[in-house]
Amino acid sequence: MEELILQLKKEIIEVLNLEDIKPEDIDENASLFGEGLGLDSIDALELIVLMEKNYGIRLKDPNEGKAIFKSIAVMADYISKNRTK
Amino acid sequence: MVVKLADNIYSPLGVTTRANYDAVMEGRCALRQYALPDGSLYTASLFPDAERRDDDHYTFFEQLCIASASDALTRADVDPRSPDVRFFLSTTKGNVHLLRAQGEVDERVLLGASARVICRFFGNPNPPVVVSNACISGLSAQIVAVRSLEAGYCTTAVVIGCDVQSDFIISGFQSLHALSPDECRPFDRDRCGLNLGEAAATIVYSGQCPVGSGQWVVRGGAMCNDANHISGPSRTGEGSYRCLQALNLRTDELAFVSVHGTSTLYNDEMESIALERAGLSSVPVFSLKGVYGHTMGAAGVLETILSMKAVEHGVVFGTRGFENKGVTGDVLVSAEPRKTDKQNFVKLLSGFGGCNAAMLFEKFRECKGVQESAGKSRECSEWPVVSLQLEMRTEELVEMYRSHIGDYPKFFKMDPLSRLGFVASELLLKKVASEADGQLNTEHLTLNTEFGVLLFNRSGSLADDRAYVATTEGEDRFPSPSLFVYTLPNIVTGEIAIRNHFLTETNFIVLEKLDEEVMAEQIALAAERGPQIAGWCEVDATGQCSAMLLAVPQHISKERILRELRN
Repeated sequence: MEELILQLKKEIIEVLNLEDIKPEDIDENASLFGEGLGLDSIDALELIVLMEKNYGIRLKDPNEGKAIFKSIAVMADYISKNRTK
Repeated sequence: MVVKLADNIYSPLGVTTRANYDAVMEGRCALRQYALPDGSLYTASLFPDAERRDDDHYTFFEQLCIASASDALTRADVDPRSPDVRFFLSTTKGNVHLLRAQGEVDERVLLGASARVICRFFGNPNPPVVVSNACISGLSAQIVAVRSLEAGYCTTAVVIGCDVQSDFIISGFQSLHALSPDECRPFDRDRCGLNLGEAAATIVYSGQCPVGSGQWVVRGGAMCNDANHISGPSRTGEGSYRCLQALNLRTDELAFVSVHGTSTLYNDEMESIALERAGLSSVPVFSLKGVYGHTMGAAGVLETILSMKAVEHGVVFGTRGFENKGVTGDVLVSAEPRKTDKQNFVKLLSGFGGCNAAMLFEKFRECKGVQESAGKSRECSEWPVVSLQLEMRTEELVEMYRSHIGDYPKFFKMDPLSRLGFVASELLLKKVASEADGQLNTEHLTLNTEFGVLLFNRSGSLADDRAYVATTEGEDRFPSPSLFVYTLPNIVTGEIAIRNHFLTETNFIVLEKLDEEVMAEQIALAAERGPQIAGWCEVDATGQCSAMLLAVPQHISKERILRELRN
């Protein structure tokens, strides 16, 4: 799980252009939206693409994302249980 | 006063305004369900595939523009070859279907080049003005045309609105999860997204024709950014509310408000709040998206024309797809048509990049006293015109940002055009602060001076368009929502508005080439409404950036701007 969390951090930094942020700067239990990394609605849509592209998980309803993208830890847990690649 | 001479709607429902009006009244629509490559469904109002052909001379997009404008010009009895006639084209993506991620860029992808082909067909000698201001383009183009007529820059204006659908646009809206699989349901509690549509529509306006009873006149127009988010409208409807306020409406004279009503969750909610705040809860509203889908660059023109027809017939359209009210604002929306004997209406639109627009139209009955004369510019000499020039590669913008700005991480999410506009406007504002009379500091300016933003270029959002296309090509395709959002050139004006909290007019104009004369005209006209950050902002196909921005005060003459641009 540690490995997946680190990988996810790297992928999120890259795909969301979080320049000047390193994986160790991100608390995997902190909120991704609002307070935490301050991501917005377009970032959420980009995370949906990331889930499908890298892990073969397709979310039909973007609203499902709200619970899954709560934090990196929650996301990693969901991916480990549902990934198809 | 600006008078409408003639119009045309060319859509899947018919090729004249009359045919379209009849179709709407008969309850017909051209919305059909289609499947995307990944199997998901969407509904759109499209021309049949057999008609969708680029020929040797004209693309399908250009054919539609030409067909629509030809009919309107014939009805108006206007000779388009006259130098007194100008063409204003409203479109978001023009011939974007010709764009590939790699290799040479087909010239016709550039909106100015395509507009030139259309003008050449009509033998018009003037440079076309292409307004590409996201979903409000159709009203922005009318506002720009009306101002040009009032200023005497032309005597007749041909405003064409058109967009055609392609994989580029459809996959993009799909990546935003904005498409409804079924027919859209504006303002309904079960609405779940929009339908795309394609059409061309044309209005011919005259600035010199004497006004007769029963003719349509433009009573006002306003644009306002909500400075909220590049793809999410203000929750308080601030931009649309301010546009409606600016029109000084008399609700007892209004037949209806023809709203945007895209059927997305946020747009309809936002509009309902803006309408209630503007005191329009008792005025009927309707959306035409359940008939035509969202025709993008055509929407503002097409929906204006149909609204005129409705008033002429004493009708308020019903909103197709609406059943149960699903917005919190108090608005008078109905599925069924109603009757009206009022002669005025408002057309309202909003779009990505935070832009909003509204126009007031009147079926002329009598002369209401002396017309307020626009008055020649009262040149303001107190403020210096501040200018800034940048020439660099896109890669160098990051260095520029780090060394001179550095406090806005969102910069790294921007496309090259927005990065250029952002860096250039930041440096310009710093320069304004240091060159102004000493009483002004950067903080003061940022908080208190609300600049409008009017940018021009040649290549639109080409760099980002290509980056987006790359995500749609190949078998392993994952269209990127964040790249798609920036495929509208006006997003850069929204980024500047958001950064500086400018709740002001923002607009983006694409020209065939850098044309100081046209730019000076349009900047001076915009500056009649307030101070402007305005000028050239271009990222070309090779990644070369070029910005020439001015900060100008209100009421500045075209000549003064022209001098600055040529300096």
